[in-house]
Amino acid sequence: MSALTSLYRSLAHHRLFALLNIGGLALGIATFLVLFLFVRFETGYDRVLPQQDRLWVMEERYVMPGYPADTNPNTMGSELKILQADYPQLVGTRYMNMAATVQQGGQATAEDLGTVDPNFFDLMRFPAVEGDPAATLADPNGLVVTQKTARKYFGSQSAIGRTLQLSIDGTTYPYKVGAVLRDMPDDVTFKSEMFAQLSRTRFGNEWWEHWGSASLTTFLRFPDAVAARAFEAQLPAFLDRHAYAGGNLKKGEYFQSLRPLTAMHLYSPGDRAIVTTLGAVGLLTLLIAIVNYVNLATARAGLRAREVAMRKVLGGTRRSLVRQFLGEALATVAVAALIGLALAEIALPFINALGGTTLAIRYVGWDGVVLPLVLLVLGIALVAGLYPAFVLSGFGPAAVLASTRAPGGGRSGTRLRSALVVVQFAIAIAFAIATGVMLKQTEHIRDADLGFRRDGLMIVRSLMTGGIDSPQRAAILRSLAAAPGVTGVTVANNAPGDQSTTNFSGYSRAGASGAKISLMDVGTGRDYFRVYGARLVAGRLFDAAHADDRGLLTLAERKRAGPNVVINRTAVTALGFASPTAALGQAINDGERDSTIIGIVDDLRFRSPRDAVTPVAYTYNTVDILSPFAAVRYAGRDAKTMMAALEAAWKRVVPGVPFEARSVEDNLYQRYYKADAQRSRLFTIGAVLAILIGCIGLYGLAAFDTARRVKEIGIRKTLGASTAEVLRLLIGQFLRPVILANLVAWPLAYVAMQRWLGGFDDRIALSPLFFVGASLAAALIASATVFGQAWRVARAEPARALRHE
Amino acid sequence: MIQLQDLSRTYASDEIETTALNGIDLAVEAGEFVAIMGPSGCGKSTLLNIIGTIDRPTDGRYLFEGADIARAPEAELAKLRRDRLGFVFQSFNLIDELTIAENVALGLAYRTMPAREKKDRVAAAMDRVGIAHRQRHHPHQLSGGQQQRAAIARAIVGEPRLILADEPTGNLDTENGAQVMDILGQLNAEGATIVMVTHSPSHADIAKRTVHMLDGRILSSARRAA
Repeated sequence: MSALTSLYRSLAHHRLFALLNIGGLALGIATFLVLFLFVRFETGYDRVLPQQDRLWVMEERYVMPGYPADTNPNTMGSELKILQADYPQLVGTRYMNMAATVQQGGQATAEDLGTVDPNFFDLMRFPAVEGDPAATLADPNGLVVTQKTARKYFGSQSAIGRTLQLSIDGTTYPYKVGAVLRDMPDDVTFKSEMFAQLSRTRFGNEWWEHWGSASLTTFLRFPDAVAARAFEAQLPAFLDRHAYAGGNLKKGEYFQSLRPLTAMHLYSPGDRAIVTTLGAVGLLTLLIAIVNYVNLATARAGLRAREVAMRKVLGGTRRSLVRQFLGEALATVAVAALIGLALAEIALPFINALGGTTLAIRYVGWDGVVLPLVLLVLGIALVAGLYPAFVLSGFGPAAVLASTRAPGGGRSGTRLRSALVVVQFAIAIAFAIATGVMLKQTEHIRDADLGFRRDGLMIVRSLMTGGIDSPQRAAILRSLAAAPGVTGVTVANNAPGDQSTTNFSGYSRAGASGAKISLMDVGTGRDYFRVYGARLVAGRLFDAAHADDRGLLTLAERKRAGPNVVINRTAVTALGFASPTAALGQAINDGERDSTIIGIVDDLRFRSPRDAVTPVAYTYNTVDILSPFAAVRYAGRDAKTMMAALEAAWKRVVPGVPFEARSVEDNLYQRYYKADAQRSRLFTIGAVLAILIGCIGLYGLAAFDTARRVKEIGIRKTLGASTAEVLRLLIGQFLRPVILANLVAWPLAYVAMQRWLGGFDDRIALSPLFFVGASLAAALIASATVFGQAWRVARAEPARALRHE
Repeated sequence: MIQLQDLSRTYASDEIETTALNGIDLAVEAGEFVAIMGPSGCGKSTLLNIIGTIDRPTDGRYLFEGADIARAPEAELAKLRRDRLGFVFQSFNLIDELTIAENVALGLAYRTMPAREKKDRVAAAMDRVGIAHRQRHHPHQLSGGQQQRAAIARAIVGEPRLILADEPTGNLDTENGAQVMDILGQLNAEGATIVMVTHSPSHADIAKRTVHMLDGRILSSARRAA
């Protein structure tokens, strides 16, 4: 109790110290807490499912010549059956996401339908609130829905036994609800609002037994990781027996492996890196706050020397003093943690809005924050309190009481504080550099030349909805083209941010031998390049007037003779042509037929800025493109008005099919830019707070140090030092560690940012300006932080300063 | 050399206003050695601080070599202190973190001159007061007399025209006090003007003139009979 009283009085007496110390720690703890929640959320996907650690996902990897290795977590439809024929003990299940339309009361509503094997919920143990999911899924017309979906279609009445008409791929089936699942939390990777039996006869496509197709997700269950890895080791032999025989996959180009279900959410290395980085930001910000505590505690040690001496005179042992100071650290950290928790609660809605997250602090339960927070408080108190406790408790009572001077830890104490300031500012400057680079890269991605005009362009995604036949599709396109404001309409099996089918053909230059180069096949409709605003580099574009562009020929004819192709710049290089002009008129062969290159366009970056632009061979197809997207170019309308006009045009032709469209800018943002933009914002918040906490510490140090040096400054001024010279001395002294911090920060930031930018194919250069700018900013901020204190002391009348004790 | 005309200094706090100096008229000629005496709180140190430009008068004129510096800008006063004044304090006012040599060098720190010359001058000043053998020590390792001699070395290293000493022997025993007064006497004999605040009549006797103060006013100013 006396220790707490002593702490309270010490804090109440030195309010500035209390404010800086507790405030800095609270901010550090709040930042750490929020980023800890973020990291736990991102790395905790699927852990809500019982026995999730036993589930593994089959993934396939292509290593195609001339193309970066590509891994995806899918298999062909029938692989599980083939696996189970070879390994009868194997337990597995499958999940395939389908687009379905619920027809109810003249309304058509688009829904995601999870089509799964009947045992799906034996493995993915989502709890049911009503009915039996396994029995329901054994019936081809059984439907499992979530509580949310049940409420959406049946209100407060029970959904069990009720029927929903679902249109899938153009056919409408009556599905009867047999089970209702509890609503699924956000952190589940494979989820849908409704589930039906994965019936091959209903949903199987022509690639069901086509090795290498990425049709659905296959899950396998193993007792433990050792068993999973042992099974994985048998996959090459399994592929030898089954996969390569078909001829479309080659040994050495196609592999399969297993990935834990819990590793699915952070699938790409870029995602994992950013989560690690944000976790590091949280830890380092906390470290900066801890350094503040140590610095301020030792800097003001002199103020408490007399108390320590008196306690020792009165019989206190060093051990009891260490206990007292550690107790004080614990109490201070606990107060700071409570304030930090409150700050985190207040900040979370803003953080969630900026970072696109749904983080929440839960206090009890397995993911409750109380236990981690208690451990955190104990840890910080120990780390932050130990050194000051030993310094403070080490003062000899005789020397302290006899001296008029207060011990300040001597030169070694000053050196340690300077070293710690170097550490703090090294972290802060590295953060500042990283923030600059990340914001610039995010801006670059938003404004970069993608090879086409991204404004004034809509993608109609619902054109590929099953059940829309060719004549209807043609009628839809005519109707869209006639909508007010539309200046062009085209179709293709790709769109910015979307790709319905990805097929590669191995091409070689006609008459040349050697390895084939994989070009992505993109079927394009009329006016494709004009609608997108692509730039022709050489030759010409497809033209309906040229019969040999094959656009007007039938499917059977196109299969016999190779079509003319337009290729992109990357394909020119990949195929080994010296220049676009050199490629013009040349023939390339896909193993069966020759195609003539009639034109070269600049690269169209339709995919993530992280991925390299692939070599593409565009073909012209005005007959029927598989799974097409429509692209609509418009002018003189805003996106909202245009969207409404396109929907009206759509409904005139197919009123029963839900319309789905997005602006290209929105589509690219949602698919590729959003995550990076949101995470950059989270990083920026963390970095700004880290710098702020560093400055709080520097301000505190400056306050204590200048107070200690008032008399010295008086002497210097008496000896003729001007105000400017004193300012230079004081600010210079605090700037030295900040400048030294650059030596640590620059290489760290350089390596980290090289790696981060390395994750983007379309990236900015790592300019020295980021480094110089961040360092200048740090020096300016540090100077401004110290300036107030230094100015006050430097301006004081020397006579008054000399009276100061 | 200096002329104070109707000079006053008041200190105002929230509650009271204290008059430390009230209508001081005083002239000090070059080469003089003036002792200022009076009871505690009579304004001796305030007067010395104002002469030393480390405090400012609230009223009146302060002419230094003919120029009124009572309201001169801070930078000008700093230059004056740097080039023409030397200070010696009762409590020495050495900087604990610096060595004796570094403390003495502080007297030249704000002047522009070749490093070699600075070094020579610092060595000469320390020699002069007999503390050269202690140059690498820190102030707290020295006796009071040695610390005060170091402070004198710092005051004279810049060869000032006017040395201001505020009870330079106040914290010293008799023997060390006598040594310090010897040094000040020699400096005056060599041409330095000295203004010294003291409580000791015997040390005041070493000065050529004694000024008596009471309640912020000058009571008398008497020259010592030659």
